[in-house]
Amino acid sequence: MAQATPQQIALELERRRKEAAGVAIGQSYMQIAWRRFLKHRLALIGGTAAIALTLMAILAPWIAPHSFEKINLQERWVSPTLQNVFGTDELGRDVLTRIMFAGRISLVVGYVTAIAISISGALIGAVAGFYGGWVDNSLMRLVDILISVPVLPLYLILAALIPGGGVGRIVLIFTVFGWTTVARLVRGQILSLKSADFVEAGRAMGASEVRIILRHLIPNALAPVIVAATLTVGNAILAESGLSFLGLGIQPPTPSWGNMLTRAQEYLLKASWLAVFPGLFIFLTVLSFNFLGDGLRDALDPRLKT
Amino acid sequence: MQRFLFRRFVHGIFILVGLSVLMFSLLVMTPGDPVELLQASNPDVRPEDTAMLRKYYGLDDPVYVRYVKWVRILVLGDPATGARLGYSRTYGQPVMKIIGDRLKNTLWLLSGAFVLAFVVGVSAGIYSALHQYSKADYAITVAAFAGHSVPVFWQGIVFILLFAVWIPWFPAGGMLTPGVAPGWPALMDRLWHLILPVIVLATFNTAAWARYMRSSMLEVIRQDYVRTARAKGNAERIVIRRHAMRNALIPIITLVALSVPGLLNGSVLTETVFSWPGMGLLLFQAVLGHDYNVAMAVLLFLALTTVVFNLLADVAYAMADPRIRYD
Repeated sequence: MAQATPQQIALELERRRKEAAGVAIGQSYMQIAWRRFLKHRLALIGGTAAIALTLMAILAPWIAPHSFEKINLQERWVSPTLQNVFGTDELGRDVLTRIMFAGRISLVVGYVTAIAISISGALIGAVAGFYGGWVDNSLMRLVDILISVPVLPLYLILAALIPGGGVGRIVLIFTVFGWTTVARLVRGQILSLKSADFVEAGRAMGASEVRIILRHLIPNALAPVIVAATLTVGNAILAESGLSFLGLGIQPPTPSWGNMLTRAQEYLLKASWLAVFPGLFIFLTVLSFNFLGDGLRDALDPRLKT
Repeated sequence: MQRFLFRRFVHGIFILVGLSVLMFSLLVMTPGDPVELLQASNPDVRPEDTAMLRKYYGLDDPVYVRYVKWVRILVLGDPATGARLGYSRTYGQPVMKIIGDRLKNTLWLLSGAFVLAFVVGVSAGIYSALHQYSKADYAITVAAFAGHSVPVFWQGIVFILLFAVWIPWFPAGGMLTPGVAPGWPALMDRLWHLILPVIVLATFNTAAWARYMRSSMLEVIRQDYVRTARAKGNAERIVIRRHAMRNALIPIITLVALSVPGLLNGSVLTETVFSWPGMGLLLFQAVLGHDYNVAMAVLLFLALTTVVFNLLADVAYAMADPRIRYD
């Protein structure tokens, strides 16, 4: 090849600069994000662990080593052995099996809360950002109030208020108080997007407001919502475990990781494994989702990097 | 500045009033009430007595009437005795008296955790930032994630198991060893009881503040004024302490104020695990026992704490960063 022209040199320099900054040329946003995600080692570990834990919960009925509810009074308080890897509880039930089944409930609480919060938060945030004025003002004042209160006391009251001990009640409580973060994020995004050219174009073509919000604005504000939703899975599992530990969350006989720990403290001297293992699973699950969320944040929206 | 503060103050009052309405209505709507609890615990109570008690306590009044009554007791005191905040139905004592000790206990715990989290979190964050991508940085980051993810009550249980049962260094709960002489020994005994719950309560915020401090510091040390400070020939220690750290701390102020509600959440669980007789444990019992006056007093305290901290953060922010003009 002959001597490179100044333009070619400039292009090559630009290409190398981008490459050094981790931006690949000729790739879509998702491809770039995926490459950045693969470089995030902790996020990969977290993502793999999250998938593994989810599979464990889904497949519990088929892979659990023992029966989930069979009471065996001869084998109460058995400390961890090869037979019962995590020991048995006060009714002689295998703790590992209980943990696998309880994971189904805890993870469902996490996933469903994340979905419910993302949807409600995104809609509220979009409406606030799009319409502005008094709608925006009153919604944001409500957000101010909700983020400035310690939520656990409110959870306590609501848990006492709403009867039943199922998943639906917990998800409802978490959603009522949890939509604020997503709403704020989406509102901010919408504010910066709503005068963008593609929105104007949509309007010029006669798109309705609902269509503009749902079709043009929310999809463009999705990246931070995905990150927030991932972190919410972990936070909801954490909050559920706290409430259940206090006896106000998921009620037995439905097992959750939190309510397996309700009486663990009483048995601490006698059967420490009952206190250690369910909590370990909460810890590892929340940790995985936090790593995953952090990696997604770096990958999807590097500006948000903390 | 004054106008801004005044606005924030009014705003804070609005939040307090709004919250108290919200919490009172929710609380009163919870199924069951003190008279039902009394009936359940004492089958000999006659129906006409319960009817009289219900009327006396105003349990069947509409919510807003009860709220107004509660506000009157809050502001003017109990009509009969003048006791502010009214009486506890569970303990039969003035709420003020019950809250007094509990408040002190909770403040010990909260302030201990606050100081610990701030000192450890900020130092770890600075160290991490100054040694970016080193092994120590990596370890601190992973530890911060762990601290962020561990359920506070489980951490408490595991710590009791490790440091009170297996290695009996610390007491497993409670606040005082019976029979310790007052004065210096009593204070040391109190601190000895505080160590485990304070560490447990501080973990989440230590982790959060370490991560924010790290990123804040990383941003600041790339700034021109830090380079200038170095170029002037200042010792590295002075560059870091006087020029970088101070600026990196500014965004942390807001974060610290926003962390207060979380700290209060954690204290409910920490107090339960360590049977620490504080506000959190009291609230939990009061909500379950339909002890409205006590529950409302605690909730009001929690709300007040967060509002005051938010106000303080605004002031501190304005003082720390002269670039911020509020008018």
